[in-house]
Amino acid sequence: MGLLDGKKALITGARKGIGRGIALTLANEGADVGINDIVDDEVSQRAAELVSNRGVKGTFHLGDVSTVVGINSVIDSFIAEHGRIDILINNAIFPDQARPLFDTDEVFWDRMMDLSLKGYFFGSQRAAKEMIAQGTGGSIVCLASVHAYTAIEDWTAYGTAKAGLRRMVKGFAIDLKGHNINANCIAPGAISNVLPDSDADDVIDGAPHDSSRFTAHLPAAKGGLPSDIANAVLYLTSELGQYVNGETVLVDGGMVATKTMQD
Amino acid sequence: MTPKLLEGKKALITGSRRGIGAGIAQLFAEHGADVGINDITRDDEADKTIASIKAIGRKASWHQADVGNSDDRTRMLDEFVEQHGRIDILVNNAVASKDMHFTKITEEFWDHLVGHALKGYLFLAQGAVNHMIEHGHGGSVINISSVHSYRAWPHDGVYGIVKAGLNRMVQSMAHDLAGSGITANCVAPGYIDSRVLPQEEEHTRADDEYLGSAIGFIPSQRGGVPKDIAGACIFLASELGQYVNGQTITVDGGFLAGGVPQDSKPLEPGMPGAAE
Repeated sequence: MGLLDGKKALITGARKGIGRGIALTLANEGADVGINDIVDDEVSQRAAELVSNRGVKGTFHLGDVSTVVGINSVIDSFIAEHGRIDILINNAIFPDQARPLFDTDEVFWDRMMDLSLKGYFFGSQRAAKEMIAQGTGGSIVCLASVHAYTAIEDWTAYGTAKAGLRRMVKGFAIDLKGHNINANCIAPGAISNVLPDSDADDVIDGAPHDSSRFTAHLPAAKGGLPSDIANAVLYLTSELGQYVNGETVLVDGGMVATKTMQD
Repeated sequence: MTPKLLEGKKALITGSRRGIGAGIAQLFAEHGADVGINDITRDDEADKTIASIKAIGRKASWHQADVGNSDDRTRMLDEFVEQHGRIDILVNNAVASKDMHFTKITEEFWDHLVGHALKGYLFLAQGAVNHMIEHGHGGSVINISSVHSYRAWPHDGVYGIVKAGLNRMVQSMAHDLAGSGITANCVAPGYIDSRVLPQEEEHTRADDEYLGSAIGFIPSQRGGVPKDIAGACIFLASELGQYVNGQTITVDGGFLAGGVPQDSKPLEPGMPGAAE
């Protein structure tokens, strides 16, 4: 008995880090999981294998989810394998998201907005269309960030995209009224993306984020782990959170509440 | 696998003889927690709630107390800890309010509501947290807030101010309890049908007849039920939500996502600001 028995979940950017943690956690709860990434290597294949090892179906879907063509081909491939889609987790992001204001050129801006705003929008639009056609309802979760709430040096483009997601899910809530689909964001704080040393099937998290800059004052007194975010995804996609809609849930150890981001 | 999310936890839920509080107590018990039921009076509804917890196979202790009264709060916590050995979870839920136009708000009503639903919550949380710190195993405090903490509806001034205060309270708790393993958060319910219904009428809960025109403003196209609020409390109190701290989670079926106040009543003639 899991909280997501039989559900079909697609997670973008799930080769490692938070996405991988979500994939494994949802698999633990009985969901069949599709892992998307723009890189197909041993790490990607191992993530899909770890899903399968949990007794559910695990698939890998190579694709660039920053274009409409790319996201559609990934969702086509997912549906071909799983028959339908119940849960979409928009998580994909490239590394090195910080960029000083005057080094932020059009190329960087477009890349940021294409992947983390446009890609999330059209991925959600397509998934919602499928969920409506299936008549089954479903859940959409977008990974926002503490940067959607407050400014910190060099993070303006990223924060702007993430703030857009908070508004975006409200629009989905309103426009998908009556289709039994809930759309929400999760806003992570400082979360480790380190792969675990152990390759054991029951291990999800690697070492905590090296966040000594924050943790002296952070209420949680520690950096977050992929499973912290994954557990919030589990809440929003399971029966426990079905009446949460258009909302952003901060999973940041109290960072935004206490403004410990900057000190 | 997560069959039970609160196995062995000890949870006190205020204002839980019926409604949302009873729903939280019941789902907590289903997830393996022992619970304390509190209210200002013990009646048939309280008895039924207690019996329903016992039927699930969990311990239910009864604590008659007024959360607006300092002596009652202290006695209730002491009784709870004596009976359960410790306290892991406090859900501040008890409230009794009424609508009052801004120009008619009385000092008596202000003192009553603030005394119960803000001051009472704070000092009960403080007492519970001190027990948790003494015990050394962390814990969770959850305040039941409201969508009224974010926006104004007719004549809801004091209620909204109190609820907004709760949202801010948990931020300070997160800050001052840093490193203790204790989290403090709010759950802000929207339109919840928490009526006490006989079993044979349970299927009518949150139906269109009860909701009336409100259904049109709720993207999830149904009224909330106590279990929706209980689900959020389970998330926050269990391992699932341990990295969530100082936060308010809105559980409103998307009610607040839209910004047009279509459900506002017309201003009353004769009141300041009325279009007359």
